[in-house]
Amino acid sequence: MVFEYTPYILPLIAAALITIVIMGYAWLHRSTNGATALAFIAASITLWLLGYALEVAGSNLETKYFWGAAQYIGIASAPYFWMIFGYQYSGRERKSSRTFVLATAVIPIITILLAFTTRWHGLIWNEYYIARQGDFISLGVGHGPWFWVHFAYSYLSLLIGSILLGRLLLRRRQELYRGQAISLLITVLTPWIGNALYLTGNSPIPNLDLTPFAFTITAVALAWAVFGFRLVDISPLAREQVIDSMQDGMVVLNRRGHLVDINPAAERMLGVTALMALGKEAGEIFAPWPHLLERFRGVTEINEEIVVGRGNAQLHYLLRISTLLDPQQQPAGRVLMIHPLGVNPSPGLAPVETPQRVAVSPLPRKASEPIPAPLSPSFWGRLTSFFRVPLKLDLPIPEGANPSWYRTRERIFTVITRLAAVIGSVSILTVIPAMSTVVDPLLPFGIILFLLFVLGLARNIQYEIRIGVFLFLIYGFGFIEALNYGYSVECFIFFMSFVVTSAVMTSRRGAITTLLVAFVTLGTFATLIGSQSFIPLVTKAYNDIPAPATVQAGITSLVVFAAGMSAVVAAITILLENVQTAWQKESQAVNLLQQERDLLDQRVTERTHELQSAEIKYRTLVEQLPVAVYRDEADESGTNSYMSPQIETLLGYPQSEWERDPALWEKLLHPDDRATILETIGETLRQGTAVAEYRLLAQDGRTVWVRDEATLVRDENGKPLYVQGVLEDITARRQADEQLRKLSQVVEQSGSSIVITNVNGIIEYVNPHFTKASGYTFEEAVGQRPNIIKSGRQSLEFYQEMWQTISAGQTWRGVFHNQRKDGTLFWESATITPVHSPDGVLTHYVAIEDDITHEKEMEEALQQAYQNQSVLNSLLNIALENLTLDAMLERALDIILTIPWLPTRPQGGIFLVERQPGILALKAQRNLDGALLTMCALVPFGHCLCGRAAANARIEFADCVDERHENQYEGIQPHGHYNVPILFRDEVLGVLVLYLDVGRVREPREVTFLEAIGNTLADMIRDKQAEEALAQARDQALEASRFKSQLLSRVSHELRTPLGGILGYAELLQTEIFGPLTTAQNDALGNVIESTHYLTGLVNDLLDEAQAEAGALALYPEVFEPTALLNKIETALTVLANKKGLTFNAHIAPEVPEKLYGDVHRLQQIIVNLVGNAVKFTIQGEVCVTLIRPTPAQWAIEVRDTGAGIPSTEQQTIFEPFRQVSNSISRENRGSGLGLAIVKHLIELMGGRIALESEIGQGSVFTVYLPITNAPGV
Amino acid sequence: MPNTPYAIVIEDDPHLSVIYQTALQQAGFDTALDVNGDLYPSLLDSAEPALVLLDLHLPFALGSDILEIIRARYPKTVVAVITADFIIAKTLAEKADHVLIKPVSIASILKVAAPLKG
Repeated sequence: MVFEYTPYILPLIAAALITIVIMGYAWLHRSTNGATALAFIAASITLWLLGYALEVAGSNLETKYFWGAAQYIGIASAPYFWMIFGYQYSGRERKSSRTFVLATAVIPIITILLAFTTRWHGLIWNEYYIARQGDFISLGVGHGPWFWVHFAYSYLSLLIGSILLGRLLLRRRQELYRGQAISLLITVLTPWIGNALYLTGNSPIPNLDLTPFAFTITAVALAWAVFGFRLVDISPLAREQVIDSMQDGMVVLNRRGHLVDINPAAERMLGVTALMALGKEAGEIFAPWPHLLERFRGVTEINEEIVVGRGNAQLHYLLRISTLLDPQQQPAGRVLMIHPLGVNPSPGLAPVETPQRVAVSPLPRKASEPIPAPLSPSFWGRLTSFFRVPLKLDLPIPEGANPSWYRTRERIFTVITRLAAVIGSVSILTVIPAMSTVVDPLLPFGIILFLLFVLGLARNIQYEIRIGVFLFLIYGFGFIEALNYGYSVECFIFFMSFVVTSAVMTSRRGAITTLLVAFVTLGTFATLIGSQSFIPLVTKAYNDIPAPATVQAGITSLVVFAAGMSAVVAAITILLENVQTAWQKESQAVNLLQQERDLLDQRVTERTHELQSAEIKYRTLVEQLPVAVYRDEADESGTNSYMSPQIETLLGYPQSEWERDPALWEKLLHPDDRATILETIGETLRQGTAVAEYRLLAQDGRTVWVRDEATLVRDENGKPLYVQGVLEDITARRQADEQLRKLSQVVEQSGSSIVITNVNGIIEYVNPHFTKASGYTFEEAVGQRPNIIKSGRQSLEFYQEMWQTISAGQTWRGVFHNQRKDGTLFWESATITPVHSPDGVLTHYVAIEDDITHEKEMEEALQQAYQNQSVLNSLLNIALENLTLDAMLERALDIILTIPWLPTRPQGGIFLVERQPGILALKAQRNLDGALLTMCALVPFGHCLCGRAAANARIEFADCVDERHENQYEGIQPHGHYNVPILFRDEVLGVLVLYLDVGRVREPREVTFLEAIGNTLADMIRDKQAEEALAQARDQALEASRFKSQLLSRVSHELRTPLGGILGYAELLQTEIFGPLTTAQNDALGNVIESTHYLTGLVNDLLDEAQAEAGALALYPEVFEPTALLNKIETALTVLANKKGLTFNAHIAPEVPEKLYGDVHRLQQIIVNLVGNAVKFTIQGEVCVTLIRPTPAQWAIEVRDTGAGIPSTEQQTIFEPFRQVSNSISRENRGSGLGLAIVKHLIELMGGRIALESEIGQGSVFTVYLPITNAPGV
Repeated sequence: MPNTPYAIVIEDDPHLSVIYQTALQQAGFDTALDVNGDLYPSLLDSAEPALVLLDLHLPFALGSDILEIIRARYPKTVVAVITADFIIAKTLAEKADHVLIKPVSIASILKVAAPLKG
């Protein structure tokens, strides 16, 4: 094959490159519906383009023929794939089944086969030849019969595909799909229009197939479709997959209310098919649900729950209506989204079902996201990513530009430059060396390739600069072409590319600028060449005729170019702007749709969650409510079929107990409430609902008040199903009610006045006692202020203090002196308490008042009595002082005259009856007139007021000085008197006279008090007199006693010394130191000694008795052994007893302690005395001493004899001094008579006592009881 | 007579002093007498007495003071207090060796004196 370079191949190759890119891109996205077909379309077009390019470049017939035939692979298959694409893209895939695809492929396959074999049968081409038109050498052909078949079939296929896309165009309001469809139509139809022009001989250059030029447009349009409308990213079918797979119904209404789109879910919900429904009025579709129609007619935005159907078939949906806006932001219609919520979405008391499971379709990938470049490390991956340039997101976007479009444009530009660079590189290595050209192409090609690589790879260079360089490159081609050849096809193509590229790749301004530049350049060339002043270089070299031949022709071409390019620029600009806007809107719409879906999904998720949590809440609520829920049979029995677990808290019986015994409730009924309950059951059954409060008996025996709210549940037909209800423990409330009732009763029946006022002090309530106490009725009091009972006797400050206290929120306590309605006064003790509302605001005052008038009077009386008593007490206190009678009377008079409440002047006196009966003697006086002191020094009874008071023993009163005042004197002042007799029982001791101011009235109170004073004075005087007499007598007695004791003591002392002399000399004589004695002398001496001993004993006794009576007897206690004491006595007394022929025995009981504490000398004296007496008065028998212990705390000495006994009459007196049993004194038994008296004294001094038991002839027993004491410190 | 015990009688009553001295001499004692309570210091200086019979009521001295002096000077000397006052006698019971209440019998004196001879 031989090829020759021709510039005609450039646009073809460029277009082929674009279609290759699209093919690859579409193939990679073949999962999208229609993308596979699109890839095949692109492949077909690529083959066509390449075939044609090679045909054009072919330098001989054979080459041209081969490539001309090869083109048919593309030519025949392109319409066919178009049709298939149309089917797939419009969602009619089912019609493009395998059979259909194969059947419709028959004719294209035949065509291809025939094309390659046409030289033998001529069915496609009946002739072919080299056709030369200027420098354009092409393959000329004559068409055979099959060509026309192919022609017809191709156009038919195109038509079908176009119609399908056209319908899509009409049906889909979404700009995205419409944009896709439009660009596709342009893609496909443009080359065929060009082809048609060529075939019909309307090509501007004969045999020049316009198809390649059209393919430029095709490639661009395809690029738009792919990159602009995301042709292979999202197809209508993909949209349907999203919308159709939705569980939610979607209905789109246009502005006139016609249904323009509906998804399968909505079809199911509404019971219509899309075919039936599309285009119909919404009213028609929604006719079965007139209420919904009415409700939502004209509504543009809503989001609410609706109910469709009734009974068990009732369905709940979430309806969302939103407005659909067109690109101009005008309402284009409405979108209805219907989300099913299921049956009974609201939780009730019905048995809980599993929560609604709402299917959530997986979220589709967001269409607006840029497609991420796959990070493939492989060579192929790198290669594809080299051409599949990712969007440059950090591209600086000029202000006002559409960022998406701007980025896309940059991407396209980069792809184109890279492709151009690669293809150029391949060309320079393969194709160009094979071509015979005038100019060595290597250097300029190398520069151009370098520039292209820079432009394609150096994406960081500012886009405007890159596109500027690129445009300059194209311009350079055009300029060099013009420089070499003048006006030529290539020249125009280059300038056209220059302008179009600028229009597409830059802004409108750029397009106009390039247009002007191209116009000026071409215009310059036209002028120069047309005027022969410049001959293009190549033309000159070959001596060809330069084009344009004349200025005229040049201008004509220029004008055509300018007009054509202006139109193209305008068209492109408008198209781009529209496409941009549409794209933007479509993106928005897609985003909106996605948002809808997201919202819906979110709503579904939320709703599901809500349902779940509602279910949990419900359960928790029911189980945690302080009430029990039950279900009973719908009959009179009230048999229980369900009871919630709280019943255990309520009544103590666990749930299981209720399950076991359905009639438990009835058993627990309080007998008194049975009637109420039966009535309630009846009422529930009759009316469907009833409430009762009654008592149940809890397990622990408590009575529980419950509130039973029962509801009869019926089925759809109204047949009673069961009774369900709630049992609430209202015991506390009942008790509170009861408490309240009691309290209220207490308030009503209270014996205290209770007044409730508001904060302003206006009475809102008074209790009955208040009305009784105050005399105001309830109606009279309410609305008034409490000052209606104010007496005004208390100070303003008192009330101010009260108000300050209570308005500060504090309790006030105090006493009111109030006035009744009838004007009488009374005292009240009051407690006023502020009442606060629960939020702490002062709302009321409560006053509780008690009548204390009586107490007040009592208190005053008490006060009076206390005062009186204190006066009397002070008088008595004086009496206790060691004062003389006269001093005492003066002090008493002072006190009486200063009693504050007694209306006396400080003037008065006290008379006493003294030595002379019937005469009052003035003993004490204060401030009496001097004349009176003598005149009234002595007043006889009955004389004057004082005398009469004494004589009558009665208080005399006078309010002035008159004839009753007999003792008058010169200068007497007018005055009144109280003359108070001082009475001791009935005896008048004296008179108290008090002076009063003239005109005083006799007050019974004063009289009573003065009587008391009179009596007190009498007591005092008598006591004082007695005391004085007593003191005198005592002093005398004491003196006498002291004298007696001293006397006795002295006598005894003085007696002892001579007694010592007598005894001593007698004993000396007896020893015969003074000489021998005769018997008679010796006897006499014995008698002297005996008498002396007797006298000594007598003296001792006398002394002891004297000491005892003088209280001077002292004890000298010590620790002693009773045994030793007894032995000593026994030794001394046995002799004495034996002398008289008596037996003496001494015993000691074992209980008696071994050691005792006492004055052993005196004890011995006691025993000797008693035993001595016993021996003395016993003639025969025995005397016995026994120590015993009658009680643990006592020991005793018992002296028993067998004597004559003591007569009971004398038993009491024998212990008195100098007493002896009568007739007992004889020669043998004389004594001082002091012995027993001393014994008794001693015993009493020791804290003991002596007892005597005796009978005449039976002997006597003296028992001395003594306490057992311990030595101090023991 | 170095072996003859020495006794001092301090007694203001002339009869009683005679009786006591006689009784003591009969019992084998040398005796000395202080009638007024003024001689006893010289008597005590002359020799250490075995026994002192001491009356408490004396014209120039108190028996209790004399008792103190004797006790300080001759602790071994036996002192018998003779008194009519029972109460005073009790108060001196601790200090004196014997307390004899008037009237005092010869026997009781001899009983006190007997252990002191030789």
